[in-house]
Amino acid sequence: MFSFELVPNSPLWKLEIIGSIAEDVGVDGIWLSEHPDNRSSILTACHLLKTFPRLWIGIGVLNPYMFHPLTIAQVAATLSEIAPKRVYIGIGAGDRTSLEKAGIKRAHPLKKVERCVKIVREILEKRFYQDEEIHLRLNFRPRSRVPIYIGAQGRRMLRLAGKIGDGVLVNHTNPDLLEFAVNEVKMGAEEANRRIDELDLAAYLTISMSEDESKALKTATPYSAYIICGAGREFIERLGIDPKIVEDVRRILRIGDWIRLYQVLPPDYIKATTFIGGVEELKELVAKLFKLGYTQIVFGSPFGPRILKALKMIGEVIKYFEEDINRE
Amino acid sequence: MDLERVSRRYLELNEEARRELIDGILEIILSSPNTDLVPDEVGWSISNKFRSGELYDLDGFKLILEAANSCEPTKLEKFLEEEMK
Repeated sequence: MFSFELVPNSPLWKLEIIGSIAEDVGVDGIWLSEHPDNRSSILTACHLLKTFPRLWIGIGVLNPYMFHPLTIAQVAATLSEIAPKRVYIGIGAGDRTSLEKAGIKRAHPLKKVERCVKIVREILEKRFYQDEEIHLRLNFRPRSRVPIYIGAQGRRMLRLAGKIGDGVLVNHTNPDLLEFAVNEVKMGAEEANRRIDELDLAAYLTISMSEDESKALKTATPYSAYIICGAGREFIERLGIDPKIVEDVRRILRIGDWIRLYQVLPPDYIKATTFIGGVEELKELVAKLFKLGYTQIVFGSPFGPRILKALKMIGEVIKYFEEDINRE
Repeated sequence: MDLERVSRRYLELNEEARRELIDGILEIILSSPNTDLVPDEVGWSISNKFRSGELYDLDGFKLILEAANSCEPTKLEKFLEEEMK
């Protein structure tokens, strides 16, 4: 399965055009990322679900710090009325940098996510939830099952995702980290007596495609910076990234000095955290990910310095694998 | 930018060249980080036309010219200079 990630930082009419191209190039759905400084992913999802009757729309991801579990359940149930069987909900701990900007400390992320998924799932399945704090009965019925994906990056969140998720949005692009992630999800699934093939394992890739590598790198730089700042110490070490540069990048992101960011972040770090390349390189990466056991490839922003061209290049990759599947 | 002159030049092009020109300008708009500067009614009209396959006519051309001129005037001017030589 192939999908796109759209960031609602552009006007809705522009997201409509990109959604239309997504439909044409053969993706099955669109994940909408949620950031407090962008347009609401929930309202954008309403609009796109009505505009594109063939595509499913996922919100990836809502975090329990900014969205109460009851709100997430209410959103999922309402969206299922707009588009039954075409709604996916992603739940995750949220991006540390964005939460800090909102004055929120990301405390106990595992517990928070686990409890949130439990509440949302119970309300969606039984229309009722009760514990020592919450007592809620939903006044309407969700029109279809809404799969819950867990957004995960670190070892413990990946295992939790294997235990409780209907799917996992693995937030890495580096092939070594994606391989590591599959193994962690598998372990989590086994601990819960589940099989890995019960889950939709999605590689949520950060893509910047162009024939001109320097332009692709420049486009990917802010995305790479956010990935590096949000990554735990374990990944920083695994990727061989100098912690001093991480600190510099954090400081630069806080003040929004983009020109300085382009000077500070080395190309090797950008390449280690995002996909930079053309059609053939992307085919190679996707083939590798399918072999590792991924069942969904999410082609994520920024796509490339020339979006229309990059989307067409991604379309070539999708067509290649669809023809491959048809041949089999 | 002389929109009348550009529109006249557009009408002199064959269908394939018109499509290429419109795609080129659409690329400028889609790749721009400044699309909030495009008037919303122009943006919605472009999307409606694009999705119904009607963007590739003179009205569509005028709309995307207006949009690109709102968000990336310098890039648009450079692009048109190259394309309409």
